[in-house]
Amino acid sequence: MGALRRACDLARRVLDGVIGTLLIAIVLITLAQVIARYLVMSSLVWSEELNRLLHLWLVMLAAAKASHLRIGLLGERLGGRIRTALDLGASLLSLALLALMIRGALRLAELTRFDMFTGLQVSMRWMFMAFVAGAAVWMLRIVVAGALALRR
Amino acid sequence: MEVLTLLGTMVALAAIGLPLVFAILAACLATLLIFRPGLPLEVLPQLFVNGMDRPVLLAIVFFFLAGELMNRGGITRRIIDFASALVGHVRGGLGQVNVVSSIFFSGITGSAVADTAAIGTVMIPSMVRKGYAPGFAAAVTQTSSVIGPIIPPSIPMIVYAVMAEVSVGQMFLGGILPGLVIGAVLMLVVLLISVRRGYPVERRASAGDVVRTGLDAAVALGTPLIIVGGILGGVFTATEAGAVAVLYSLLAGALFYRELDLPGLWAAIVRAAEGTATVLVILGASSIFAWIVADLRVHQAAASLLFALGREPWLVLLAINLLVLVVGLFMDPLAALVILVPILLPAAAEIGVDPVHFGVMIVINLMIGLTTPPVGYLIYLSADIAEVPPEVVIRESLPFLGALLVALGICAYVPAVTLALPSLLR
Repeated sequence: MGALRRACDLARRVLDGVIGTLLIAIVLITLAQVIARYLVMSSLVWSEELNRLLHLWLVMLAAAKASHLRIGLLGERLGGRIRTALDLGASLLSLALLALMIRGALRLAELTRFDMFTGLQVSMRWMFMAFVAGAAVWMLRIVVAGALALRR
Repeated sequence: MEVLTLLGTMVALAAIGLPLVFAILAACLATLLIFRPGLPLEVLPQLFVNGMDRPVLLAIVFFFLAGELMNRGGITRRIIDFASALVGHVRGGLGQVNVVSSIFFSGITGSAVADTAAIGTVMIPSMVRKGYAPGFAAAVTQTSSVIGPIIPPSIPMIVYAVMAEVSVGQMFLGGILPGLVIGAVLMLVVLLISVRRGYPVERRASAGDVVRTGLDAAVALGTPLIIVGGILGGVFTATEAGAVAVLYSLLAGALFYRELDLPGLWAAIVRAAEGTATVLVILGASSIFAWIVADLRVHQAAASLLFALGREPWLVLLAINLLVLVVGLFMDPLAALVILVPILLPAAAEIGVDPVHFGVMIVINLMIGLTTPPVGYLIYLSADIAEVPPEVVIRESLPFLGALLVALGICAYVPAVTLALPSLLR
């Protein structure tokens, strides 16, 4: 149990590091875009595409650890076993949906392998791979959170 | 039947506690499997990723981050000091200061929850010490926080701009005057209640105090000037304005106010990323929803329902506002926004409502839902700070809610209030 928690803490810190670095990079690239336009009088051809790509990775990786919007009018009023059963059902449904989406995203990544961002000269498959990576970490988090909740 | 499957599945799954993004995805999947069985399911991740992949959406993470940096950089006290010097001497002084602080704050963070938490923590205890009823102090705080996402910067305005395909700059400019109108009607209610209850006034600040506190707050208040000035002057796009606001907030918090340290900076970055992800995945899922709404022509059914009583614009606007108010009672504003806009916007466009006017109206309407039971988050937050039961805050909020509805009515039926500033950009 202790080892699992320690591993989760480490994973969280690593993920924070990646997310933070991505966000700082996006801010710097956007500022560079403004500076290039007004001070150097030339626009960066790659900046917008790179930002789009980094932004997708940022969002999907951060989504894996963010706390997501819930409404839960009914769930919050129920207690005990019904609540546990609903939570378990919700986790399983979330996992199934993410798995289905990952399958589709992998297929799309394959289909777009040779499509390129024109300025960046990088394959567009990396957009869909951002989804795959983020959704996979998200699934892992749901499984670990479920395991910890069940032990409690 | 299609509508029932789509909306029914979503509401049922959301009600039992499934995160909204999955409730929307599951409802879309069920609808596609039943009514579009031949469609390849790759369409789901494709629309999801496309929904998040728009350059203008970068503005969301920038304004989240700028707000976080300013919050941690010690601006709250300075803004409240300046508001005190400006309006403390009006009847119900601290109540007026509370509203004016919310107006200033809204130009920096654009989050109603951050506004209530930051201003409430300082203002509610001060108001109680001066003899204001705790419920009243909480009510002023929570209802004036509604202004946060209406005056730019505003996350809901960016989300709406993307969904309705209008410019973020226009939406930002469109929110300014309605935000001020809301502030004005709330200040009027504070005045009337304070006269009746004999709430105190503060000592009138000297001109020197106004200048001194104004200069101290000026750096913080520079953010809205950068955003609005930058966009209006055509210097940069709304997204770039966000990045410049981040740099500005960083310099203000770390170098000028010297209250932002490295751990605070890192925490702000991670929080901004997570906040953005929460919004963006909903937007990704909602782009599948919007596609299905268009494909199954749900918006046409909604329009014919709305036009059942007649096609006079005032009547349709009334019907839309009532519907949105009811939905806003039960749903988070952002969730309601992504679900309602694809369904209602075509009907509004059909009777000639400008999309910027429509968007600002819907955002105001949904923000009111944050201050009403059963899911009004601001009620519970402000009640907690004021240490009173939520029922007391709800009761004390009634006159303010009436004022918010009046402001909504003004913005709905006098389009010029919203459109005067955006027309400068056209």
